[in-house]
Amino acid sequence: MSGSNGRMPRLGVLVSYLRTEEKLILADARRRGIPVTPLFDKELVLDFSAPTAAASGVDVDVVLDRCVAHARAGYAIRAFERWGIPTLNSAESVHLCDDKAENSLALEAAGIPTPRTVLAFTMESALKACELVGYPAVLKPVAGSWGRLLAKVNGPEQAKAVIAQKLELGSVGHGVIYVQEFVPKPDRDIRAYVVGERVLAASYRAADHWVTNAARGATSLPCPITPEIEELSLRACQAVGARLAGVDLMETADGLTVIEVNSGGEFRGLMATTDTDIAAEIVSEAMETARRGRPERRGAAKSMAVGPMAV
Amino acid sequence: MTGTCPECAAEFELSGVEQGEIVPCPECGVELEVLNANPVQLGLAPEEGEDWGE
Amino acid sequence: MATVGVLCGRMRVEEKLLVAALAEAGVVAEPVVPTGLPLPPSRHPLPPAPAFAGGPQTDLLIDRFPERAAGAALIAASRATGSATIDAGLAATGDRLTVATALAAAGVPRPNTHFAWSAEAALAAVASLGYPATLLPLAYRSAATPLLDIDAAEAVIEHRAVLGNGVETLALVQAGVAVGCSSCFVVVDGEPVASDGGPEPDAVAPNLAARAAHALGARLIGVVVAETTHGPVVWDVQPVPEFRHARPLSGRPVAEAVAAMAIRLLKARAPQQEPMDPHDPRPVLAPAGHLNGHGNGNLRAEAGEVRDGVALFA
Ligand SMILES: Nc1ncnc2c1ncn2[C@@H]1O[C@H](COP(=O)(O)OP(=O)(O)OP(=O)(O)O)[C@@H](O)[C@H]1O
Ligand SMILES: [Mg+2]
Ligand SMILES: [Zn+2]
Repeated sequence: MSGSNGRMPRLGVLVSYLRTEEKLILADARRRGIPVTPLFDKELVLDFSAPTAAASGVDVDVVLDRCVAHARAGYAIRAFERWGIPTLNSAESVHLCDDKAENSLALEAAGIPTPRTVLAFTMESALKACELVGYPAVLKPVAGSWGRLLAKVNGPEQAKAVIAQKLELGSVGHGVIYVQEFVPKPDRDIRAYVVGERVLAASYRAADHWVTNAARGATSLPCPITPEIEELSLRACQAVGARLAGVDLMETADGLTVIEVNSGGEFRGLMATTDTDIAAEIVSEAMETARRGRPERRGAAKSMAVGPMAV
Repeated sequence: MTGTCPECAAEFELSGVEQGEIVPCPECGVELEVLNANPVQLGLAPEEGEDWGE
Repeated sequence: MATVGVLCGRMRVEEKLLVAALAEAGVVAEPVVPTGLPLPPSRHPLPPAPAFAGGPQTDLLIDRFPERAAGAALIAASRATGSATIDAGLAATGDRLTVATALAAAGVPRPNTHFAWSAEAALAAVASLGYPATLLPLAYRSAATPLLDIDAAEAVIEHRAVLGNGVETLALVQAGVAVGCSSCFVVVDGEPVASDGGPEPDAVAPNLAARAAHALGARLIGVVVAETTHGPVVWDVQPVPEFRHARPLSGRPVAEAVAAMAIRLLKARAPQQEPMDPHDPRPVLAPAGHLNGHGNGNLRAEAGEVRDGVALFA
C-alpha cells in the first residue's frame, strides 16, 4: 500500500485525548506500517498565514478527526482543508453533524424520516414550538453530545422551567431552542456505524432511561443490519456528506426514524456486539481518502469560479 | 400618541413609531420596545445578546 | 438637613413612589444609582469613617438595588460610613440558605427543606421529598423553579449543574409548589403593610410574615407565605419586593409606611451622629462579639438540626 507519489500516506489522528477507539486505530495503523501520529488539539497553533500545514506544525497527508472537542475540531479541520489536506470527515460534514439543528435540517431536506423538529429563539416562541410538536416534547442543546442536557418536558410548566435555565445560565448557543417531538420507542435505540459506503455494524442501546446513550450507561446488544437500517443509515450519511459516522435510529410503529448522524462516532459499545474490526476499517478508509487526494484549496476554488477565468 | 413606560410608569409622546422599534424612556432611561403601534403599547426591550452585532 | 438615598438600578415605579412619599413627609430623597461609582472594596466591616471614595454619602440609605451581590456590598459599605439603612436584613446581605436557616432557628414554620450541594444531592432531595417540589437556588437573582415531575427535575438540575459556574448548583429543595396558594406580604418596620397575590389574607399569614421579617432583622422585605395542609409556611422572601400592585392591609400604602420609618430612623439619629446604627441587628457590619449579644445572634442551625419539621442538612 502506498500513496500516489509512491510512499505510504502519513496519517494524523486529531484527538483531545486517547479513548479506546483511538488506541485501537493507532495500533492498527502501526501494525500495518502506516506512519501515524496523534495530533492533540491542545497543542495546535494554527497559523492561517502559513502556506502549508507543515509550516504550521502539522506534517501529514490525511487527517482523521477523533476529537471530542467539537469547536476545536471544527476550526482545525477547516484549516487543514485550506492547506489541501484531506480530512475524515470533510469540514462541511463535521459542521452539519456537530450542530443538531443543522443535522435535522439536512435530514429533513433530504426527505429522510426524522422526528419533527422545530427551532425557536425566545421563551414565548419556544413554548409555541412545544405546543406544535405536542407534549411530551424533547429539548436538546444544538451543540451537545453524550446525552447531555437532553430534556423531556411533559407540559408547558415543565418546558418553561427548563427553558428558563437555558436562558438564565446558558451561553449564546443555548438561546437557540431546539424542540423535537418525543418518539415513544422501545427501551432502546439503534446505533449503526458507517464507514465509506458500508454499514459495518449495528447495535441496540438499551436502557431504563429514555435517553439511551452508551455514555449514560446503556447496554449495547447485537442488532442485525436489516435492509432498512442499511438504506436509511447510508442515506442519512449522504445527506450530511459523512463517510465516517455513527447513525442514531429509533424504532417506531411506522418504521425507523433517524435521530442524528454523529461525525466520527464512538464504537466502543458496538465492538462487543460485532466481529468486524471497525478500527481497521476506519484506517483503511483514511488511506483511501489520502489516495483520493487533496480537497480543492479553499482560496484556489474561489478564484476558479469568480476570478480571471470567468472574465 | 402617548405611551406608558412599564418600568417607571412615565407617560410620554411618541410619533411615527412602528411595531418592533426600540425607544428609550425619557424619564428612567430604560430601552423600550414598541409592542404595538396603535394604540401604543410598550414593553422592556430584549437584553443585548453576546453575539449581537452588525 | 439629612440626606436620604434610594439605592437602585434605575427609578422604577416603586422608587418613584418612595421618593414621592418621603417628599410628602418633608424629606428630600435622591436616587443613588451606583453604576458610575467605584464599588466599595469588600463586604467586611469597614472603618466607620471616612467614607469610601465616591460611595453614597447618606444619613439613610433605602436599599432598592435589584442585583444582590452588588447591593449587599453597597449597603454594607454605606452602613460602615455611619449611614442607617432600610433593607431586608439578612435577606439583603445573605442567600436563601442563610435566610432559611435563620427562619428555622427562630421557629418560623417553613416547608420541609433540604439543602443540596450537588446535582446528585438535589435529585436525592427531590426523590425523598416527592413531587411536586421546588428548587430555590441559593442566590436570590435566580427564580424559584417548580419541579413537577422527575423528567423536569432531572433536566432543570442538570442544566444548572452543567451551564452554571458551580455555585448555581447549590440550592434549597422544598416540598411542594407555591403556585396559586401563596401571597407576598410587604413588611415595613415590623408591620405587615400590604399583600400581593393570593386570597384575601386572614390574620395568621401576615403575622407569620412579620415574624419572619423580625427574625431576619428586615426593615423592608417581601415575605412569601404559602398555605399548606399543615397551615401557612414562609416559602421564600423577596429582598427588594415590588409593591406597585400590592393591596394595603390597613389603608396605609407601602411607600407611606417606609417614609414614616425613615422619619423615625432619622429622628433617632438626629442628636448625635452615631457611627453605627445601634438598633441594627444585622451581623454583616457588626464587629466580632457584637453578634452574640443580640437576639438574632446565633442564626445558623447546626448541621442536620431539625426544627419544626424543617430539616436543613448543611
Ligand atoms: N425525539 C426523541 N424521542 C425519544 N427519544 C429520543 C429523542 N431524541 C433522542 N432520544 C433518545 O436520546 C438519546 C440521545 O439523543 P441524541 O442522539 O439526539 O443526543 P446526543 O446523544 O446527546 O448526541 P450524540 O449522539 O452526538 O452523543 C437517543 O439515543 C435516544 O435514545
Ligand atoms: Mg446520539
Ligand atoms: Zn421609564
